[in-house]
Amino acid sequence: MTNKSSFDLNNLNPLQLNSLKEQISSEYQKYRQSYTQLLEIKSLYSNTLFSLESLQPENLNQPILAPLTESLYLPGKLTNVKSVLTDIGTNFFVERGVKDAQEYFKRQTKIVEEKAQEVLKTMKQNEESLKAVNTVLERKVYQQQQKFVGQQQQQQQKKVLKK
Amino acid sequence: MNTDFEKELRQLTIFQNEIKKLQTGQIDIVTKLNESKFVLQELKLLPKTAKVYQLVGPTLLEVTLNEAKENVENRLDLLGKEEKKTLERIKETQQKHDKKKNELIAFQRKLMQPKNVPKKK
Repeated sequence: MTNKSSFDLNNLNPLQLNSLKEQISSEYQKYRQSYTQLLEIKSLYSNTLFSLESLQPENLNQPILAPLTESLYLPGKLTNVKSVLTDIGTNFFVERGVKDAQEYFKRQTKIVEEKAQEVLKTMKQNEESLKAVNTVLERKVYQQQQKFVGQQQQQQQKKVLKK
Repeated sequence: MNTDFEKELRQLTIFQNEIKKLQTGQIDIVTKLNESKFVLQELKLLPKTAKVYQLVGPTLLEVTLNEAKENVENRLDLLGKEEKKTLERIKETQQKHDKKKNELIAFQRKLMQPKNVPKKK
């Protein structure tokens, strides 16, 4: 989300870098979730478009099986091939012709696709910042280790001199 | 002295939790707001002859296009006001939280310098 230049990152100690890393990772998870949800919605729309295709005037009075429950279907006849009710959100429905409904769903699919692309872009930026944080973190940890080893060597040298 | 410190610390965590709650609430409101904006957009695209239905409980009622638009616009207004209120509350709580944090830091410094007069402010 925020652009941290490497200058800022170098000023943080490993603990802070670690917590930053966790923050970025959890953001990434959220973005990933949104992305999968958007893809699901897109496939839902394409399924709907597919079902709409069978609402053609030549299918009038065709036998159909209408679902009553999840495992109970009722045989019937397709009597309406002209209009459908589309759910536009917040409990509102609009009665449209089949063609209009198809256009509506195509429009929706486009919008969802655009949103999915945006989320994908943000995810990539997130990945990059995570990489940057990781590199700085590794470098700092290595520096600390070297410092520690250096200090130990110095102490040993002092002991040798004293003897 | 320590128990005072603990009390203040607990107050700080209470503020933090409140902020988190308010923020999740904020996200909810924004989602509902976006959904309603979407619906209004769709309603505006419809021709005047279009039939609109509203789901009220288990029943689907027919409403006029204008009624539906008014309905959604009112909802948008209400949600917008709620969003503003929540944002203000978040700001207030954040200020209280920061103030408390600074108090705690000053308190800590005093604890570490019990005899000398604290020079750092």
